[in-house]
Amino acid sequence: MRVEKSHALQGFELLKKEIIDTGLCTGCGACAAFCGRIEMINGRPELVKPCILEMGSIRCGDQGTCYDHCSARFLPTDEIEEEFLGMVREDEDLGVYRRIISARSTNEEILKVCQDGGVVTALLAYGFEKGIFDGAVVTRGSEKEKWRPEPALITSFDELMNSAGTIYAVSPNIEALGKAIKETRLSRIAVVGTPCHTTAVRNIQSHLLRNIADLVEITSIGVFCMENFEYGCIRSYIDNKVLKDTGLTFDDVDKTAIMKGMFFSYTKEDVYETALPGLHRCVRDSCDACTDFSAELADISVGSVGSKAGWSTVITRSEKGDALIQAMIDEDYLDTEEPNVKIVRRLAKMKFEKPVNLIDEYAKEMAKAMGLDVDETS
Amino acid sequence: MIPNALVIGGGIAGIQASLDIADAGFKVYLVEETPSIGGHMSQLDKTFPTLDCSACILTPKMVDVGAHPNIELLTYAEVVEVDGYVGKFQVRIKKKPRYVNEDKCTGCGACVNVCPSIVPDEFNMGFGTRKAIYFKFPQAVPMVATRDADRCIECKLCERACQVEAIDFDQKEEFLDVEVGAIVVATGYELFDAHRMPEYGYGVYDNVITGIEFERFCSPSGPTGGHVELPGGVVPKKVVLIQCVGSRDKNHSPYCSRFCCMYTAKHAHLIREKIPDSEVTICYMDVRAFGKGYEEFYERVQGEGVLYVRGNPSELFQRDGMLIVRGEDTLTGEAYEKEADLVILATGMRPRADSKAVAELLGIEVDENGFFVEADPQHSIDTPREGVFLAGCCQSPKDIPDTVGQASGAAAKATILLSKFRRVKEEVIA
Repeated sequence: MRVEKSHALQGFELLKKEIIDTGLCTGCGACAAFCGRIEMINGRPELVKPCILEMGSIRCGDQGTCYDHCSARFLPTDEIEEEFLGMVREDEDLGVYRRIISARSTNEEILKVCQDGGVVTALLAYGFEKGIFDGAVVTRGSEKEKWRPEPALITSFDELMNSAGTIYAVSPNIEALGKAIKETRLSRIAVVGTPCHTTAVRNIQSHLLRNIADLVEITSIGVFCMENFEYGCIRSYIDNKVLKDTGLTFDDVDKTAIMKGMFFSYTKEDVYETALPGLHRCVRDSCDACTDFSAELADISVGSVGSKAGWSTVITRSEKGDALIQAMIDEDYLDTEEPNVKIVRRLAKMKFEKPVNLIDEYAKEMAKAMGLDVDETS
Repeated sequence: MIPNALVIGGGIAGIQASLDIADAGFKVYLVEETPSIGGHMSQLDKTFPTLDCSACILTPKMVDVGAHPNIELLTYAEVVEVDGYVGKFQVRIKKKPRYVNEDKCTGCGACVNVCPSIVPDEFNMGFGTRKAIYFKFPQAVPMVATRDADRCIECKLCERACQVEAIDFDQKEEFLDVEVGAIVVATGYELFDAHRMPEYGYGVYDNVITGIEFERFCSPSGPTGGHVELPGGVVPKKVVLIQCVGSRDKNHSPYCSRFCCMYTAKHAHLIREKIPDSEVTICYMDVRAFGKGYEEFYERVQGEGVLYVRGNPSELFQRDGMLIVRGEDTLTGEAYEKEADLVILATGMRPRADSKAVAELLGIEVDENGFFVEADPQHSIDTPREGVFLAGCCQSPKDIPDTVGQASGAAAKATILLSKFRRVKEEVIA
């Protein structure tokens, strides 16, 4: 009769036991996004004030808002696909999709600063211009160290130009989504992120935000991801190994890219190559457990794999995402051509099947696959 | 002389005193520590001996308080300092942050709907739930939400959901200084904590509950929608009610709480009414049915098939899934063991835990039990401090009719005092 707290583990205790302590935490920031008692410290969530379940609450959300939103917990994929993508997957490798194309922005300004085809940047620019988005959550370099990723909330084209391009390190982007909803009070938000970020967005939409679904609309833009690095580790590797005796540091690098199993660091004069296996000790533990290569739950997924240099592969998944890309093509914001779906599928499969704890072997395999199949894959 | 009064406590005593003083034309500051006025009476289902709906009597008065032009209602507030003297008291009132702008909140409940934090509901004695942002109960006055910061994750969804932008996470504690000519103290009581009598198994057995908890089960706005149910929706058939729990007991409170005999008779009546095939037993030491219409009600309940067994049980335990109440019938001298699937403990009244501190604040005193001391036994409204009057159960245990009577008396005393100012003023003008 008397209502009591369930004896089952829930809330931050559950998150800690099942996700953080087991190395599954992706560092996405979803747990901290809506709970003022959790903060991301050195890429991992920590309680900074007692959990409300210790303060007399008997339940928070379903199993704790932090755990409900966690990108690493068990996921009812079918339900999420049905609700947010409008159908359930038939393709096990690529998930739900409506079309796959190769695309490139038609905007010269964007092409100057972007990673590949500038599709993500063009999408956000289009969204701002047409009033489809009133803000976007992205990753950008911090002011002091330009390759240290920081989640950022941008609301204009100028801010967008400052955050174009890829940063290969884990960033708690979802924290910025929390800020966008709680503090900036935006209503139409684009979230750009890796597959784990995409998952977190869907978890948030199907839990806390379900209550204010009519007030906040999120468009999820996912980027392809094989694995991701811890910034501190990658920085020390680049500084101490790759740029050793050059007098340069990672901060002098203008652009980074992963192609053909190599990590490229471009400075004004030179290009420094690093074999990916050397960087594998910098891969975040949680990436071992991740099987999602192409951000399967996003409205639109974008990545370099499957397109030639200077182009991006675009997978539209939801009706909303497909309509957005169609509009951009119709209005000449994007050029398109045929992609190489085979390699996207191969990498997706490889990520799904990769042997856990055999990361080096897998990296060599990946290098081989990319090197063998496509000459100009970027 | 300041023509204003302070009333401390927004239960039925404070409500009645405030309305009477305000109706006489004087300004009243009514200070209530919880988010809504209403007090214990708002938790009750029916009142004895007339079986009137408690809320039907109370809520119109609450609404009157909220709407009265002469009453400034300060809920979620506490009196923290009282200086001065009769006719000119300086009072400092602390307004705790409720994180909701009282002027903007429309009471729509949109914030409550979106809140993810579920908390046991104090109003329903922990038998129902509320959110971290909540209304104390559906008829709360003022109808303003309150955020419970200790149980809030600060997701700020309430802020997003609120259409009138009433939610204010930055709200701070505020102090209000007022001057008043008279003070009515109506701070009420606490119920005896049944855990302190472990022989009755409260807190050990789910089916042992207290009288106030039973009130919530009977209430249509309660956790079961007015149905008397055991866990799993089972309807109890054998109910034992035990009187004098914590009262007339030298180990706890030596005094009679004066309301348990009657509310137990009322509970017995309600059980027989709601569950006609139930077997209802009341264990009593004496039955004190002293008020108007009370003896008649006691007789009526006996006529409804409620068995009164004299002598309080010695212990309560569980056997084969049933509660067993063991005791001695002191009229026949025979020991008995009685099966029950629901036991209701008639817990008595205790002075509030903070009564000593409040007495010190007001410059009055508490008696050996902790209730506020009246001027003399014949003048239960006056205190030794001039201009400070007592109303309701803070002075001694009493039922609702006596509380309302004393509250009107306290209001009259305060009004007499305040009207001296008016008279003096008129004479000066003349």
